[in-house]
Amino acid sequence: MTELMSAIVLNFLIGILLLLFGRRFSRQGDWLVVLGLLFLEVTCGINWKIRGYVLMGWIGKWNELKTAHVGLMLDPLGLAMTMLAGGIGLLIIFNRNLFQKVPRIDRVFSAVAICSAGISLAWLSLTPWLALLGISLIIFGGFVSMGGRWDEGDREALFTFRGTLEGFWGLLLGLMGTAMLASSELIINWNQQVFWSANPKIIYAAVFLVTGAFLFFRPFPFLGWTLMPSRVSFLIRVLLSSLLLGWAAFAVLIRMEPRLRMIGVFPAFGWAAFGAAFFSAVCGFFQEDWHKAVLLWLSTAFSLSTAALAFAGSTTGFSIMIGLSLGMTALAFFGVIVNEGSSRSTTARKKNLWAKTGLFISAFCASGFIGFISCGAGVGWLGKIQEDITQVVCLAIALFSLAYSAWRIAWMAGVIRKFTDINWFSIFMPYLLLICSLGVFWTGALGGGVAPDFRSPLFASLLTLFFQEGGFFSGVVDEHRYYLALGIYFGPILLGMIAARWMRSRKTTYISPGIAKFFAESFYIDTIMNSFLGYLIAIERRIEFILSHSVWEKWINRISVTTLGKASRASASFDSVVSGYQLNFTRKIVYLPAKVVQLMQNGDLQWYLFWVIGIAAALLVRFLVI
Amino acid sequence: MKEHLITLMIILPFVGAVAQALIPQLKGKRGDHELSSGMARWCAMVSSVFASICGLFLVISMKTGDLTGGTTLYARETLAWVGSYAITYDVAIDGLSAPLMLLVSIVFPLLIVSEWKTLKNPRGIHGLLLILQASLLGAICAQDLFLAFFFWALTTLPFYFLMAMWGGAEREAAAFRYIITASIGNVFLFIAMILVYYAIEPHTFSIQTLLGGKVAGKTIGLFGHEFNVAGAAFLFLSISMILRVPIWPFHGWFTTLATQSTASVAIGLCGVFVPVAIYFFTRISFSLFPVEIAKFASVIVLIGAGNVIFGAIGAVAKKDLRLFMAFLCLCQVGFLLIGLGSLDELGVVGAIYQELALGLGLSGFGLFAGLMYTRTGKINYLDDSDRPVFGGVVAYAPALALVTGVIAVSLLGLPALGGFVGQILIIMGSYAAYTPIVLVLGVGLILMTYGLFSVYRHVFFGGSKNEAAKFSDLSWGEKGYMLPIVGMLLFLGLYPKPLLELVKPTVLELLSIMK
Repeated sequence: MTELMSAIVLNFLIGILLLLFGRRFSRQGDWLVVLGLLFLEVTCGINWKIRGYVLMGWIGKWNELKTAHVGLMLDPLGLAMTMLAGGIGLLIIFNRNLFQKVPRIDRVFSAVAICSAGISLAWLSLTPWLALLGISLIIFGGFVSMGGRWDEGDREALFTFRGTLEGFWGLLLGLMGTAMLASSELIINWNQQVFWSANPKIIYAAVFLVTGAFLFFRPFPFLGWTLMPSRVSFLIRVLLSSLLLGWAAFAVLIRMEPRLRMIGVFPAFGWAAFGAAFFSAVCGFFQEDWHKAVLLWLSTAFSLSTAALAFAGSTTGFSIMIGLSLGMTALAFFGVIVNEGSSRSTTARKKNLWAKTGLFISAFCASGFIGFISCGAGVGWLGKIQEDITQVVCLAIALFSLAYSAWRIAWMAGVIRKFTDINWFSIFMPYLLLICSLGVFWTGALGGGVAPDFRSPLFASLLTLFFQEGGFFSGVVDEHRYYLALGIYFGPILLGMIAARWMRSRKTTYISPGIAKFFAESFYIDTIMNSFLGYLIAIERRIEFILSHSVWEKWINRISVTTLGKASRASASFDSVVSGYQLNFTRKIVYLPAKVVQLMQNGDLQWYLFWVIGIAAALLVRFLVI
Repeated sequence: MKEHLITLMIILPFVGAVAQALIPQLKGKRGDHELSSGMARWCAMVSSVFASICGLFLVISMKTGDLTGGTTLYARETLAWVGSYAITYDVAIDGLSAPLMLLVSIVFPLLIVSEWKTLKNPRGIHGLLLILQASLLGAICAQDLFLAFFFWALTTLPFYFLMAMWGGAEREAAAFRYIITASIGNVFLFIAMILVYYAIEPHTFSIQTLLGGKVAGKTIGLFGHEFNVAGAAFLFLSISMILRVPIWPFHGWFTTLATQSTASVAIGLCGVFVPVAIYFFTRISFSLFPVEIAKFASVIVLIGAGNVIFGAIGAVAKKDLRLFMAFLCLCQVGFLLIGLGSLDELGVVGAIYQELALGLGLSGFGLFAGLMYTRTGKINYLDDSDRPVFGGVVAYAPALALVTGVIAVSLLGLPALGGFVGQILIIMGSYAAYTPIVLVLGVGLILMTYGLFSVYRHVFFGGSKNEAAKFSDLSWGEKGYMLPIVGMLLFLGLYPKPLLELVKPTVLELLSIMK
């Protein structure tokens, strides 16, 4: 456990180090990241058979309720996903020639290290708090990965801003949801089996948390960033800002699944996820740029995986998510490789053939074709829900949409004008992703989990190790239901492939340019939201103006000045009246003595001398007689 | 020793303010007064730093469970002042005041450093900042109502002069508006205090004696009617606070002051004074009027909700960085009020903790706004046509971009940063008490995120404008006052336990009195 924690911290520190001093150590940077990632992979391998957890207090003590705990949990699922994410990181580093046009490659390396630390935390965390901290690291990593273009222009600035903002909104909602759950005195330690009652407070809290996690998939209606044009490397957008973020968010959902099922929020979320998948798929249908279509496809796939998690459980949800996302990631890699280079040599033709083969195998994988893990999961899901016609129809539409979009992307990306001259290593590396998305890799069975009764005698099933469940068909006993499920599953996929082939030489504006633009720009939701924000700001400025100028300056100020003026005038006039009376009174009092003194001084009162002498004589006589 | 240390902490800035003003004008080698100005600056700096060291030492040496006189007071010092009116010099610290003491102790030396190169009467600005530091520390530590009022009212004057002498073009109007509002607020506070004083026998101003609703149930006869003293005093206290804390829609004085003042004054106002004002209200109302607080808690939450929504929308709409900060502060005041109004242990503890984290965050943001103004002479980040004024600053000042980024996300409550702990506790507490309020908090946070990210984008990213070329990255001196804030925010986010354990007992004590 300690070495695993050290590996996570080391990766984070390497990322920060490269962010701060990357320009100085650009040559050593990639090796530092590789060492960090290898250390992470090795520690995961060492701990593979160890089970355990460590719980600590963060805000408050570890044994208190109503507080924030953090801790790590060692389980095969978390370790496997950490290793897989580390592998994606290594894939980016070893394929650095695909990112030659990125202006600050050191920031991409930094982002890889930070994101790897983040996703490890998300999958190995014992509580949502640390998982969300991990997700915040991935958001930060995604932000750093766009660092080469930060100061290029306002469009790139807006692109970085939108990408980070939408991720941050999800994070805030997730944190709020977790805080609300914690305040309801719930134990949200994923290692403990506890009962959650379906009371409104817990349901509201769960809604916040799940909505927050769902936002990391960049689902409909938050497609603004996905549809924005940018000069940021396409693969960086796919890998760091979409794939790893989606995987990390899925960690929260999959760990919360038993509890969310207990309180009954899943059906509603399942339908919402279906809705989001449908709308993002429709938006993807009308994209002329295959890069945008890939990002929309990923959003659709993550939404569908959430619906699978809600309706069919962890095993199905995880399998669909991992199979489809790996398939589309491989497709994105091959698409870039096919479109890269300008050689016409024989070797380039060979390379091109391999890359193109990879591209179309990826399209099969992304369509959930037989042999890949998502196929078994999809058939198993259909086998369980045949009574629920609405769900079957929704799933069929989703399967059609994914297959159609995947093949259309493959056709669009596969239009090659010049042959690739990328090295062989880069061409074969994405095949590893396809190997990881094979059914046999996860189920241990050669049928990839599609055949219900077939178990491999050679390999143990990873899925059974992860979820302790009996495979995709543990409720499907009827053979008829199984074949029907197979039919329902492959029908829409084949139809999607045919439709994509038909659309190969056609523009999306085929029916109506106006309608196509409406769908391609995500139903103008961004425009509507921008207008709404503009109105909100205008209203606020108006209110502020009214409060500051009209209310304060015109009214309060005027009233204050008038009141003070009147009061002071009244006081002044009162003062003058009182002073007048006072003066008059004083004058009258002093008039008589003053007159006497005046008469004396004027000489009009000379006889006062006789009076004084008389008194003096009288006093003298009096003293003499006595 | 500790008792004297608290007094030393309050007195030192006063002494420093007087001493630096009395340093004679000495001519240096160049024939100017640089020598004496330098001595004055260092004198101001040293007194502020020493006061801060006293404050930090006191908080660090505080232990939970240090009981004095049955309460969780620490380092209490009591002296008779005006015996005939039972007015005492009574100062102490507890869990409620410790975070605020930390805030003042950290921010004020940084403010003095940030005004190091001020040319216009530096002695005046440093002296007034020191008086402000002393009066705020006094108001935080006072355990006597009259003493608290004395220090509280004293805070008005430095702000007035700082505003009127060093402010922007409309500084006189802003200062006048401030002094009128603040004076009326102080009058209401004084009336409340006198009512409380005469309500009980023997008359006293001691908060510790009045603790626990001693005023409850007392009446006063007026015009043939009996009035509830506690109710009336609480009403006057609330009016006083509405006039001294930015509360929507009575926030005009605050936003005007923030826009017209220099960076350090704006920081002193938004980053320090506002958290201290909320603390002051909490201290008096929770100690003296528990019944009234319990009765009007929902009103406090409602006022907080209004502040969150209108503050957040206002911040989004602003183009001036200082005005943006003022509205951010308005919004965060809403968070604090909601936390306090929840009357839940977590909510109240969160609000107290958030006072510190918010103060540091806003101080950092204010310093950033000040640096922008110092370098370019502009404070608007968008022009009249909503086009960015700066843009692309990250290429010229990466360290400033990094530091500002950390401060911004801390204000938004990113995990592992100071703002996270307070905000999460407030959400926990308020959700337990008022479930629908989380919607308001959610909307506020989403809008605040939009606003802060928008500022960050327009300043640091995008194509470089002419203004960006004037930029140099943080100097060592600037790093010296920005990095402590970032360091403290990281510490508060990663290891909140020590401070939370200091705050908790006092909050529990006050809430137990209420219950």
